[in-house]
Amino acid sequence: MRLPGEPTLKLRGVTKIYGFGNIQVRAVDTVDLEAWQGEVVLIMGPSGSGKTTLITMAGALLRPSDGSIKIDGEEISNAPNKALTQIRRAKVGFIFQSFNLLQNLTVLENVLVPLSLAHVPSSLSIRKANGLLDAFDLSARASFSPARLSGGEKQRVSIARALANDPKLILADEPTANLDSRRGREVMRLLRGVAKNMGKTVVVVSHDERLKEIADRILWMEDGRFKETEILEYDPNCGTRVEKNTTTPQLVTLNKTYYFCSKDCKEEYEKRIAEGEEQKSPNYDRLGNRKF
Amino acid sequence: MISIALRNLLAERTRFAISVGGVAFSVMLILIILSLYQGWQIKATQYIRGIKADLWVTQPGSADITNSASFLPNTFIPELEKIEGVEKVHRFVGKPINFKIKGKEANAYIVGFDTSDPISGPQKIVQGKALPSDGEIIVDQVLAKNSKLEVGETVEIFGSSFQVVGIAEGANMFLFQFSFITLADAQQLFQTSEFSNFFLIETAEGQLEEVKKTINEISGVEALSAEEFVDRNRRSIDEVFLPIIAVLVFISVLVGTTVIGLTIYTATIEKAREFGVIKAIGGSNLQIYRIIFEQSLVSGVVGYILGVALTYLLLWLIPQQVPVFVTVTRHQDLVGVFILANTMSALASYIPVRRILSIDPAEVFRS
Repeated sequence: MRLPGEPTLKLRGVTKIYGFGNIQVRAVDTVDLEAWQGEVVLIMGPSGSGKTTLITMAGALLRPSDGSIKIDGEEISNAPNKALTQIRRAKVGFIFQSFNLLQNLTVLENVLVPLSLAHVPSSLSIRKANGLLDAFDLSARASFSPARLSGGEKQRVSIARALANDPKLILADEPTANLDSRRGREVMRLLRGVAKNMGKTVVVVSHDERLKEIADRILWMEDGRFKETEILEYDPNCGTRVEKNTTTPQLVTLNKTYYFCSKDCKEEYEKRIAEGEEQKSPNYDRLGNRKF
Repeated sequence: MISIALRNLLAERTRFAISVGGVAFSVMLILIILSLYQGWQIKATQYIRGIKADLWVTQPGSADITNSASFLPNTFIPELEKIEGVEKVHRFVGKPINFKIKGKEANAYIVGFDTSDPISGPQKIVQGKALPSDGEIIVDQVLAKNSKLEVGETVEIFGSSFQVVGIAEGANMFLFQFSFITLADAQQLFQTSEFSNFFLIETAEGQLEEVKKTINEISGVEALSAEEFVDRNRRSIDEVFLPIIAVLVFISVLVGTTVIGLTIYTATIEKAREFGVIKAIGGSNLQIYRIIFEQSLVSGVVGYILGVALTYLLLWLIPQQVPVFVTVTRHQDLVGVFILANTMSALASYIPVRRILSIDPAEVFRS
């Protein structure tokens, strides 16, 4: 069980080596990572950089060659297969690039599958699944087969399924890759809501630059290692994610630096400070939660 | 648990139909073979069982009525009649022969019997009269139907003409059907006035074992109880047909298992990714095995029900065209074949299960 102040996902010195002898490949090389409750961590990097291997190990689907992986405080790196199955069932929700819905089941049944695997009583399962479909605006599609859904709807079902057993950790692999711009944004918004409103830890692996907008942290992976860690800030005026770099409009006031998506936002915020509205209470905090 | 198995089966109706059809035909074949075997066993000895004798006296080593000859001089009769406990001694004269009916070859086991003492005569008459006179014959209904013989027509045996005066039931031995003529005609045809093939003994109540023991002490004869004689005749059928039946049943099981196995295997492999997803999201090996086994089992049970229905339909239809096709379907065979169908299902799911359990759930991250 996770102790207070402990991350949901904790990787220490995690290494994955494929092959043996002279043909060894270090797909993941001594990686450390912590992902906290309510946080969206985005892992980016070129193809073959080890992102998928990392997320696979983080999801208790692959054992590391070395290092320690803890999910919700539970060490999984040397756990037996049966225990890994239990951990995946109870503590991890998966969202896949190609949705991976079971084609012969309805939308409702797809969401019911994890509950069924966890032996949740039927009436409770149906109530939970319907609640999730409602939350993701899919109630009207409950009896549809996945083939009749749009890409965005399929990914919403996939998210609902990932949340069915109320896991602490959500792992998403290229969740927007097969979606157009509008549906991609919708999924991004939902993933952020999963972290911020439901308190889940969301780790996303993606090439999609748009996902930077919803990430609290961006990790760049190359040759099996994190090269740099980039922490994003929220524009306190409009809530847009912005990178902390020298080209971003900035405002330093009362020993605190604010970053803005545009000069207009910066000027508007300055104006509001001058009017005395915002100094103590910006519209958005540094995790992007809107303040009311 | 949501029935993923059932959904997968119903989504692929053609494949499901092939799978069910494979089991159904396999079940049908096995049941028909077993029914035929039972039919042979029961019907082939029906006439012998119907003869109300307590003991059959044969030439020693004579195994049964058709496959080995038994010739006993009638001089034994007074000797047998003298034994304490013997109430009556009857002669049984009969011989399997080949003759012509309407120009076509036919086989029959001709029994000559004393019409004043008709212990070995026809046991049930469905048409005509029960006791022939000299120059007359009663034929079994299967022979009559096969040869399109009617009462009033004549057949020629060893140059003598016999008029058909009756049609009997229950005298079908499959390889032969019994036909009945008078003892005098039989003695003339077979030139056996001084010989009989068997003696049929009626004993006083409670004396059977003692009489049997006494007869067996006489040189040149062997006494068998009616049950023993029926068993000997049944054994000769078993020796001929059981190995054949065993091979046919084995082939049927193999065909059924292969058909279910192949259809379930291809269905499972097509869904390999989905099974990988189920593993990834927390499905245990046992849960996945259950899904695949359930698919097999449903195919097996539905196939069994269809197979039984087809069997009964065929067992009703075929004898109308092929009278010699006599079958008896026993409840224990139905239960046995049900267990067999489910065993086939379990066997058929073994290879797909092995394949699926070897799937790495991490594969689902590779699009």
